[in-house]
Amino acid sequence: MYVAVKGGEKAIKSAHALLSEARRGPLDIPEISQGQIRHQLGLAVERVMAEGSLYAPKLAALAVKQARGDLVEAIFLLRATRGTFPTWGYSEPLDSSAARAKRRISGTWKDLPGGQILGATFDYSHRLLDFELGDVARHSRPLGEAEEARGEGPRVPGEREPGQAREREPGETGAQEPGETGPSLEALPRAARILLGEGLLETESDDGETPGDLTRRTYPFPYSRELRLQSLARADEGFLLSLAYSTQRGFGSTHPFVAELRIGTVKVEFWAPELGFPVTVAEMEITECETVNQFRGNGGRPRFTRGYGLVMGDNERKALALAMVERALRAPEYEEGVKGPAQDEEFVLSHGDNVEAYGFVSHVKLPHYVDFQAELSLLRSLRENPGGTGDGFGEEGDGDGAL
Amino acid sequence: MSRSEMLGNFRDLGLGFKDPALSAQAAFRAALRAFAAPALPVEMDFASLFQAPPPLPAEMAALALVLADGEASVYLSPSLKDAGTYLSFHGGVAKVAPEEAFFVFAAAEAEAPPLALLRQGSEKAPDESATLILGGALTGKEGGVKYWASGPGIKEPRLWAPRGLSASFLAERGEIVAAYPLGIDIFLTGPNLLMGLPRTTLLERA
Amino acid sequence: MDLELNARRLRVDALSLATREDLEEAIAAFAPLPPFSYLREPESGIVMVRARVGGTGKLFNLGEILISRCVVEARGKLGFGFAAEDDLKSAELAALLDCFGEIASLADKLEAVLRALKAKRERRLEAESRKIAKTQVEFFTLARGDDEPL
Repeated sequence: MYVAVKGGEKAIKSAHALLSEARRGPLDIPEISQGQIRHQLGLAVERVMAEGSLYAPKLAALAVKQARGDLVEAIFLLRATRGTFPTWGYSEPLDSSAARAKRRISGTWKDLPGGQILGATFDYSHRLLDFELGDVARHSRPLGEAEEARGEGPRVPGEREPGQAREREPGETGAQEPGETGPSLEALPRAARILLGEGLLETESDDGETPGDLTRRTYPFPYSRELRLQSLARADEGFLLSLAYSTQRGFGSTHPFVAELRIGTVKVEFWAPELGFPVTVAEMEITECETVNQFRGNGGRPRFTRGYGLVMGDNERKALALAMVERALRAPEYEEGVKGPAQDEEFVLSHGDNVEAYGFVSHVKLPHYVDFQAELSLLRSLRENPGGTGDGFGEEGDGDGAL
Repeated sequence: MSRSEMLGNFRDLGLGFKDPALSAQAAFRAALRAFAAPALPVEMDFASLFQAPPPLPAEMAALALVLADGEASVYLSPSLKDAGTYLSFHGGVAKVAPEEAFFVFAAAEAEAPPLALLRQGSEKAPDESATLILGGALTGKEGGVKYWASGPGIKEPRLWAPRGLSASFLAERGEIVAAYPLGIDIFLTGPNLLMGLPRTTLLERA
Repeated sequence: MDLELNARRLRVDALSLATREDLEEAIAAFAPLPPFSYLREPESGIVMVRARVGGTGKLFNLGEILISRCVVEARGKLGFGFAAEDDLKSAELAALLDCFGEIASLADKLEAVLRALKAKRERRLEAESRKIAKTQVEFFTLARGDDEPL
């Protein structure tokens, strides 16, 4: 039941004003720019794009700023903004093998063709705070030392003084030294090819089917593997991480090896009707993870099974977790039985979208005055008439937005 | 696909709506009025919505651009075929066979595919049916047969004398819409004219 | 695809990937610009990006990307431009430059501009690649077995 509630306009206006004040923070601290967020809080932006399911770095950076760093709120903003743009169709399939890699590792072969490339990784770093990155020295230094060592780290030639922020365009990285020497990267063939050659791994082939698209319509369960991959690619990273962890702890084990994990940049090609052939319209970064999992017999010829994770942007943790959950969801295909939550397709796919989850969980805080009054009077009448069959709350009467 | 079609040229691509938002809204509003008050012609200067004359009748071009897109696909009858590039450029319109199309454009009754061939929708999704946009039907020769039109959107039965439409076509339509909620909706068009015959409109010979 | 179409495709590709600064620098070489009109005003929209399961298998929809596009006409020739993100200016500049490639009197100049654009991009990618290559793991105790059994 809807009951109109009036008033509150002034309070709401004031709350919004307070929000923008809180967003800005103290005025003696310089305002953060979209470019600073994009390039210095890059991984926050990447996550917002992946879960917002829209690759648009500048808009995602703006979303992070507007949401005051609340990434789920930023993801919500990006999804909402997505709806304001026209949709033009579908790209040509990405060629992830042709990605310009910035990282590529394998947990199964130490010297795979093309080599292992660490890239800019947190791995092998000390997980200790680096106070050198901080704004202020932690303690005063002996006199005389102070001049050289006022804790800003090495200054890149041409860099501005702190506080003199300048927008940098994508591709322009602050620390680039033009005179970099040494060899560049070789081509990186897919690691899975090593096993495919021997027939030890399931093959993946294209059946020419047009894949379903969750953004255009709803589909009944069970989903095809393609729909699952689309759904997981936009799912909440934390949710996938926990599910992947649950499989490792025994709730539907999949015995994964990471055959290959790569992060790189690919061209996006779009078939433009006015041209009649596909053209490159942009580039995007992707993170791809291929797992090799416990083998399955196939008429006496057992083969490794596979899990696959592909995410837009630089999202290594998510791609890993995704590949593990993706494999876990294939349990029925291999008649493994659904023993853990990560193998339960309806459970995983219905609850992984954090925009949906955020919305439905949050709506509980909205006015439910009438619902609650009904419960209250029911409870009172039950107490006045003992011997009734009341067992707590009445029928779940939560019509959407009921007051 | 020929070379010229592939790279497009000025003539094939042409110019679209004068104002992407306002022109589209005006055209949509006309379509809405036509269906809200069936069997009553809506007059409107469709040509004025465009920057330059489109390669198909303006009222048809306007309907195609506001109603169809890459998923709400169209079929173009033979004499409208050349407008395909124009519609896909300005409206992202996908062209398909008549039996798959959501919007079937036919220059005249003689070019229209048999109605039974078109999408009729399903009990679960009656909206997944075709809409036929039929040209030359409001200005042609009067067929002599008159009909009483009635149904939603018509207060008192309305007398209608079709032009450029055969009695057999309307009989065919009658059979199709008898399967309500399945059926086909029709826009009849003429120069700067539009008339709606949704599936809910009953036609009885006067 | 014939050679001419392929060249057009490579040109549109290169212009899509050029940065705004590079495009602005490139267009400056053509001042004063010939009069032009839009067949499609610069606009931004969304394309659903498709990928393949396991990189080689069935298609699936990965997520969407925001791009911009524009179509211009000058001296009876058409130019098609695309750009990443909500960047109408880059799409317009790319379309103009593509169009100049079709205009006989400007085609040579455009060729030179394109070569410079490509060289710039290659230099940038090469420098990036070198830096990344330095993070390649070297196993000194083992042969790098490209052609040995793994």
